[in-house]
Amino acid sequence: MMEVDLVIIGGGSAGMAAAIAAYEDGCRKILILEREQELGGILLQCIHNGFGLHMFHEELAGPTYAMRYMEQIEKLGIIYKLQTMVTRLYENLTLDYVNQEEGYVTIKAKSIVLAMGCLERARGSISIPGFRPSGIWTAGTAQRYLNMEGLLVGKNIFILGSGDIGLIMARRMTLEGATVHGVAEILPYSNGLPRNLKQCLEDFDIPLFLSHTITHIEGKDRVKAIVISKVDENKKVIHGTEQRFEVDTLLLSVGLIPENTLSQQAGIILDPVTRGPVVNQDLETSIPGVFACGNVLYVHDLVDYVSEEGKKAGLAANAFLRNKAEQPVLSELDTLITADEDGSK
Amino acid sequence: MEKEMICIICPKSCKVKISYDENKEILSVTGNSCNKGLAYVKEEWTNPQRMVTGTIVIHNAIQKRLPFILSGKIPKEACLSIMEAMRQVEVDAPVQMGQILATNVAGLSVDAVASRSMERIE
Repeated sequence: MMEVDLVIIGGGSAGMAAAIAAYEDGCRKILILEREQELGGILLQCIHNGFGLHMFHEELAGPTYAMRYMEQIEKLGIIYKLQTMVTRLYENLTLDYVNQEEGYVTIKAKSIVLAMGCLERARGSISIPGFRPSGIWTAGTAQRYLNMEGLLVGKNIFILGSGDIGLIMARRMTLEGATVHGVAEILPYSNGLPRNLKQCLEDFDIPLFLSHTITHIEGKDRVKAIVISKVDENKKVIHGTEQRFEVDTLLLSVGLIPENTLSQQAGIILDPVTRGPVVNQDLETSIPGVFACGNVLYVHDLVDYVSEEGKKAGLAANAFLRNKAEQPVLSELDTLITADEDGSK
Repeated sequence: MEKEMICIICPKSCKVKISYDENKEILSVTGNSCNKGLAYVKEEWTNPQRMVTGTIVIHNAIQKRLPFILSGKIPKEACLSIMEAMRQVEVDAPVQMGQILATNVAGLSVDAVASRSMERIE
């Protein structure tokens, strides 16, 4: 079985920062496992600018921010495997991965950094009434289709949820020629950044319906229309406040959840609030030697903070490896203790 | 007279208050936490400027679209003409990050620049 000092699961902002930090701290046997066809993570589809003000003191487009780390990984010669999916993580720090070239492989790690990021809440997690036609997408999926594949998922759009991805997509789809009829938010305030409300909605006269939610979806094969209603302070729908919009597409921007399927299988203890692993001050999870950083730990507002945390996890993982190398192995420890006891007799 | 504005320079999104006279001349600006914010407000008051990003078609590359960013900001109302002009631009891999993809886009004296590199694949 192949043995690696440090395995990093996920080659996005968190994973890349962890790998670079660990390498620069002296760790040489690092392996990044990434399921996409290149490193970079979600930043590659975030083509808008505004990233990196903390880290680089300039406003970069998402792909540019990712590139700075990708180039660093190449320069240092850190090894990574692409289109490689980790299918199982075990408590004893072995893991299974699959890819087309090698098939099904099990490897052993001395230390692991979890950097799997997060996933979007979908329709199932918010139970919207109505039919189940095509044309309902999470905002991030629509973003991927548009920015990486060049495909616009609809022409007349309504957006549920005022998270930043939804706001960014409202502007993006407008620029690409679609009409965004409105954004509904169940809360009395938006949870997106005020600057995104300004530059993504106000600039394009897209209405924001606060304290509103979707109460019906019409359409058998494809979305035909959606109905929104006002809600009271207990989020209860107020009847008689219905407004109907004829749209072909509904985008959902209703929150992100840390992606912890692997962590759960390994028995890592999760926090019910953040839905990420419980960690100590060194970002170490309930399994010694397994660290977590970035959106898999909790959903961050800015990528700059993810990179900082990745760096911290990479350094902590390498410190763990160093400690382990310096410590006498258990059998030696036993002899030491026995000798001591003998001496005192 | 007074008006409130959200600064879009950084994620802090400062709420800025502008007081102005009958000729719409700015008398004072409060609520901004930096000089960049002050410059933004003054510009937004007279001639709002925006950054535009988008994608163009790329051939023989790992992805189908190449993201671009402008070399500078453009007047707010010209965003759509940038998109229109860039729809006509296609490129062949390899492309280097920072490479100019189109100059003087839509006659607005800005260039469109590749925001990432993409290698050529056959």
